Amino acid sequence: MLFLAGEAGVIDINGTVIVELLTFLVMFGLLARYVYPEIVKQAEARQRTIAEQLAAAEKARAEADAHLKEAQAKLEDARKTAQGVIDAAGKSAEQLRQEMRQKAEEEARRITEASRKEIEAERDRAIQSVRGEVANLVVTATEKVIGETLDANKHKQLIDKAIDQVGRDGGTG
Amino acid sequence: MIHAEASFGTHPTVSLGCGTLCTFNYDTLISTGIAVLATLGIAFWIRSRLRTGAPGKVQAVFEWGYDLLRGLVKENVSEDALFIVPLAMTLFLYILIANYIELLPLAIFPNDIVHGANADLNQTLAMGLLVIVVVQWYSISVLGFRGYLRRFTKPFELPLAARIGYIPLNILEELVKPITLSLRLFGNIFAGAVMITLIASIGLFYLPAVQNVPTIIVGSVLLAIWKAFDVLFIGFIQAFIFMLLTVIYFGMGREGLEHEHAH
Repeated sequence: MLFLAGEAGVIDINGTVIVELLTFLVMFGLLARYVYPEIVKQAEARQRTIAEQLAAAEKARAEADAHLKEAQAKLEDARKTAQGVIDAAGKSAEQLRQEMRQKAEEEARRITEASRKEIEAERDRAIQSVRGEVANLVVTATEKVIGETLDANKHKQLIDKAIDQVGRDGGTG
Repeated sequence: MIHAEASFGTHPTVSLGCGTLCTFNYDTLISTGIAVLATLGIAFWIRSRLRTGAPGKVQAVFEWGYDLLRGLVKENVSEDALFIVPLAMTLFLYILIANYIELLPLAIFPNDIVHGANADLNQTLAMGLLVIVVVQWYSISVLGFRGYLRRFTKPFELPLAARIGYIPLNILEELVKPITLSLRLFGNIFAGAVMITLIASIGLFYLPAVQNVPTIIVGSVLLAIWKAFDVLFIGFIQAFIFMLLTVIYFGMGREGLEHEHAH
């Protein structure tokens, strides 16, 4: 084989281009066979993972939203119930107070009434007893003064009448 | 055998003695070999570090790049054209690594036998041709042969007579694609290499008063700045543009699909 040394100009095209083409094709073949599938696999897997993670995150967010709504609904429910309880308690307390007052008033009225009745009865009794005493005294005194026996019953009626008149005058007077 | 007197920008060749197609720029072949091995090494290293769980930094960057490229293909071409992704990714990775090799002090190799692989038009043309050929195949497979030919009568809105007039322009456009694709990359990287050589030669200026020490320092600083811009930035941009145009050309290969269905 003959090797001839020479020189090619700056833009001379010769057999180099064929060798370059073959070299490039061999390199491309090696890369396309052994390297790119791996990179593609990795990149695609990563994109898939990212997409899955995004979807999962979206799902988790939706779930969290739902939970939040649920919690808010429960909270609102609880607040309503509590308000109801408070309202009921307030109402029954008010009722109780009313009842108590009513009872107390009634009791007071009853006691007052009873006292009043008792006092009246006491007074009546006292008046009755005083009246009896006075009538007897008058009869006795009159007997002593006039020296004769009065018809106790007849005169007692008179005296009582007089006393009644006095008592009425005293009561009204 | 090594051509010591090679003038700047030319390539030393070996020939099997059977014409142009048996002549090879061996500096480019060496550079390409290094770039290919580096690309394969990095790619397999990345593969060995792939994990299912939380990705490492390298894996995260790679997966991000993959997602970006896939989005680009889906947007510009179609959902089912994902076979473009490995091709575009290989182009990007390989061009990037080949460009970044220029960061190394390649001048330590004798006779410039190692350079950025894309500083040779043969290398970039190989990729440009490959891309355009695959685009033609894709276009035919999507549109059918009739639809493929019809694509050369763009724009479809015009009356038939006017569309026939556009046929030569459309053919020219298609033919020019691999040339622009390869020349753009080649021109950028080659010009960058020229600049690197020029800036590096500042250090060779000899000023009698101060010897050549200051010029070496100035040359080194300028070279570092230039490499940071040209190799890191332009090298990346060019790799990205090559990849982007590849995807866009595939997208253009579908032109007329909607019209075809409307008929």
